[in-house]
Amino acid sequence: MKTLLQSLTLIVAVASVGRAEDLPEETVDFRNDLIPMFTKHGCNAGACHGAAIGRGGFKLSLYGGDPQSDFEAVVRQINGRRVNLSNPEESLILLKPAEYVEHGGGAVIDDEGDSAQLLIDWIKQGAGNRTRRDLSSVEITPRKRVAKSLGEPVTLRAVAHYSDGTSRDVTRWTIFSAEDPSAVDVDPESAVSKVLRRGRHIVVARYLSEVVPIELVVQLTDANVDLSDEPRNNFIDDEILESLATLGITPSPPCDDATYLRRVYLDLTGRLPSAERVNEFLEDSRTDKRKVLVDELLQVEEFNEYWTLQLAKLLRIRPQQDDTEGAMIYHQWVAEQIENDVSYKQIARALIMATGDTHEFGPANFYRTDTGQREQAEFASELFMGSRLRCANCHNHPLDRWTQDDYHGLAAIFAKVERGRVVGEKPNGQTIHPRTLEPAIQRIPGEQFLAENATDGRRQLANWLTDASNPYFAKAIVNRLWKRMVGRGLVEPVDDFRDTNPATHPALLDKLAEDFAANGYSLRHTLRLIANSTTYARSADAIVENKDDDRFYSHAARRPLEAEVLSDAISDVLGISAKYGSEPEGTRAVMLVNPKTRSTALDVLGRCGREESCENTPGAGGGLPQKLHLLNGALLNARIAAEGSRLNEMFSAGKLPKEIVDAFYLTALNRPPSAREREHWERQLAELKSNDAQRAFLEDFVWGLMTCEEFVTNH
Amino acid sequence: MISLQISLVLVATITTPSFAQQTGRGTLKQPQSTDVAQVDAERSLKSARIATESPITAAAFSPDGKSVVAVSQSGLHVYSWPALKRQRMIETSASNLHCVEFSPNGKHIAIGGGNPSEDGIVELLSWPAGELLTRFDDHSDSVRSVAWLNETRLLTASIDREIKLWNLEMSTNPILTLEGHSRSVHALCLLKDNKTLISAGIDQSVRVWDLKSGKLIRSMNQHIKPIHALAMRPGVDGLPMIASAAGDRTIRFWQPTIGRMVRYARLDAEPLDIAWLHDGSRIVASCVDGQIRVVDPDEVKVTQTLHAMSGWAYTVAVHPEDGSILVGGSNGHLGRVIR
Repeated sequence: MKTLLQSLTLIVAVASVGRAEDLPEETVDFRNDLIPMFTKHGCNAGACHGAAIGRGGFKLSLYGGDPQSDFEAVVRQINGRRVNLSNPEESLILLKPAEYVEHGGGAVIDDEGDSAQLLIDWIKQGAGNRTRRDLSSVEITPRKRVAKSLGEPVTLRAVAHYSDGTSRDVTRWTIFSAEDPSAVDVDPESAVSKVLRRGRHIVVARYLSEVVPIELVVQLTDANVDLSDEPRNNFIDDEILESLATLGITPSPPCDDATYLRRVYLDLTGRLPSAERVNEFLEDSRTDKRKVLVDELLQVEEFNEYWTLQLAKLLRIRPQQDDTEGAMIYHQWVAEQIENDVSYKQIARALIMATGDTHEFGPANFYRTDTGQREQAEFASELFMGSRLRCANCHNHPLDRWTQDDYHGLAAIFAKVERGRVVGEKPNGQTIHPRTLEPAIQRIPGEQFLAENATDGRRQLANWLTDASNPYFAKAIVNRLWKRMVGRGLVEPVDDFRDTNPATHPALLDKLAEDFAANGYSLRHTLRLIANSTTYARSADAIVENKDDDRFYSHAARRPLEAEVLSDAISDVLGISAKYGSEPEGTRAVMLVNPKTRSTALDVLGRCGREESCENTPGAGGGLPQKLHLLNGALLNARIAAEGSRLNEMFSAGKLPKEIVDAFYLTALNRPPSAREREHWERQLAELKSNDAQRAFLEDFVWGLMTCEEFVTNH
Repeated sequence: MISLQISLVLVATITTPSFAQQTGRGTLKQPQSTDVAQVDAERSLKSARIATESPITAAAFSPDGKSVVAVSQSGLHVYSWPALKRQRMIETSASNLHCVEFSPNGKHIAIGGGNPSEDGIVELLSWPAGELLTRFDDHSDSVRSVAWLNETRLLTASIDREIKLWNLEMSTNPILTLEGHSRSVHALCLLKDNKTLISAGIDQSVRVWDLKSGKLIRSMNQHIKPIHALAMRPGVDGLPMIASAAGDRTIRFWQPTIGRMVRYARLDAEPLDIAWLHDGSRIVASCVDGQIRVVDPDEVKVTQTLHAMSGWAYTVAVHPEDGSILVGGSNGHLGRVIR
């Protein structure tokens, strides 16, 4: 009896999930034939019946991610009204898309075409949910093509490989969509693509649940670029130069010492170098002075302050429901981790497994960052994996591997955390899976379900996440460090890692991640590595040969300063500090714990409240209102010549106008004026006879200096 | 998981073959051994995913309890009870039928259906002769539910979101149209006062209407998935109680006159239709897994789970005398389940 029951169990289990069966070749297979057809015609796209609430009362899973529910929607729901077994040609599932009856999406299939015949055959065969074979993989060719010229046709092909060892060409039912349709044209019938604009472009191929990126590249120039003699300081340069050579891009020359000094100061400490430091560095004749400078900056207190801010932003540290104490303790803990160069792996483990009083134990506040387990799952995936799981709340992710089971499984792990002031275990905590309406089973995303009674879900998650073989953890953080240092992530946006959003330099990303793990997950180590590369030290001035490059690092990017950094820089240059709420005089913006601290300067320059990710917040001064306020408002005008200001003090000390010009150049732009600039200012000043006129002119000069792009950007 | 499979085998052994024997349509044999049960179960599971007949969408007992009328895309058929032998087909011009109800005196049948997305049709037939008496086609999409107010007035609910009241003696135009549901209306239920109508559908709301004024009295919104069926609880004193079955896998019990959801039972599978035992002590639900669940409305617990068929069980009814259960669904399945 037991044997019989076991064998029946097998029969039920296999049959009920629509697994492969031995069926005649002519059998229309709902999963492998009809769903790709629905996808090809856009029926299950997000703008149509694949929307979260469906459309017109008919809901399909997004891009066929849930074939069983699609089968039920088509065949079973509303008394099976969409399929007419008595008269297949009268089935609503055919009449609607062929627009025999009114259809919001218009006529999407030809009533005499392949798709209509497929539907009719399937219904005539009984509208079953049978499948001959399971899809194993889809092979897309080519995956990458570097073309010499625009308009060169590239034929795209898709071949499906099945569990029974068979294969077939499914190009006809595969969607090829260019991420930028203005750059790549793909003919939907022939699947022939043509690149219309130079550069690197992505075409996404979709067949069933498989999405595969295709990289099409046309060199930015027709030049034959040989970069073998370019200087290289580490593997970063090898990878960047290799891609530049492939793309035919000539890199800009290295930046000068003053530019490098300003850049690396801003990137590592969030501050401008003092005038004295500028002079000292420019006079230093050592060949390794840049390397020495980097090592020095990585050890100063200002580095700790600035990178505490960066981590605080990443962790979205802010007072929750006016609980400032928890935020202070959390911020202080982060500051200690930075100061002691604690490995990022250790930081992540401490956060994930934190328990205790949030007023005493900083990392416990990680579980007070969001309001619930689902939000926590979204936050954790974006933070530690650089992946946006949030789409998978309502449906399997359309462009990635994440499923609803992954999303709610991760949320189920966090549901077992008591998230009051005291963070602890909540063994009975659960979250409801919206598809099954049952408690979701804890799951390591993309990997495996945990045992039903597992009480150590967070530990298992931390172990998996911080394992050296984890494909997300190290890459996510090194990509963020890279972006912070050079202005653009290798994967962009930095929290959107997925196969269909590939890195511009995948090998470099791999190497950076491996190097990071091999060096103790030290943030300082990777920052040092980047700062010491010749890639980092390139001029921000584009040359004719690379002016169209915005992502291959042939020249440095001009980056708007963050609001906090710019606010502090203005204070430093003017010599008058800004006021931040009730904080003591002299408090720097980068040290604020509460991102909502009252501050006119930060209101003007733009701030991130940290309720959501700050990573897509534009830099200060980027928007038109901010720019106008910077140009015309009190932020500068009221402070330039105020009592105690640098300019006022220099007037009082009897400094000559040309000394004032030199001093402000060194303080604000961190370089001496060029001969041409000096000549210009001296000529202008010479025309002014009275002291008052010269004073007024110098006030304008300072204003002009601080509103110019050179000041408000890191370049 | 193992316990589920065990119960399925036992039920398949006991009940499934009896359907086959009684309907005369089945290929299943009288179970003599467990081997037979295994073969039958396998065949049954396969057939669930290859339909050869349209699903039975609604069924009702004749007033004398000796016949069953069942509707589908194939039309209206009459079966004997309890043998469930197909006796005859009643010709109708309406296609794609979704509902069937006997009039209060049992002399008429109302059926509803229509061409999807084109029209909704209601036909009034004499019983037992099956002659067409009247036909209404004012709905713009299929009619999902009909309810008799009395011998001359009929209510119909449609996928076109509207509920209409018809005077069968006067005109083929509706005398009242109730608008308010934002999506398809799937179920109707009349209170005993014959003045209060309850409706429900895809918009997840249970709505209470005053038929005299045509006004919506209240809307109750606790369900979180589309509602498939409503049923009035018989044999209770005090405030009337209705039950609703929905895609959120709950059966909710309401006191519609005061707008209160009293309690709810959560099932293991989505219920598609519900029917009360005649004393109101239990409610039976036919579900998407082909099982019948018997629910105690006071304890809100499932007291029995009975295997009925493979595929979706769209309709359920309780015999007026012997209390056995009629179930219909996928692949033209119609069967009898004894509790």
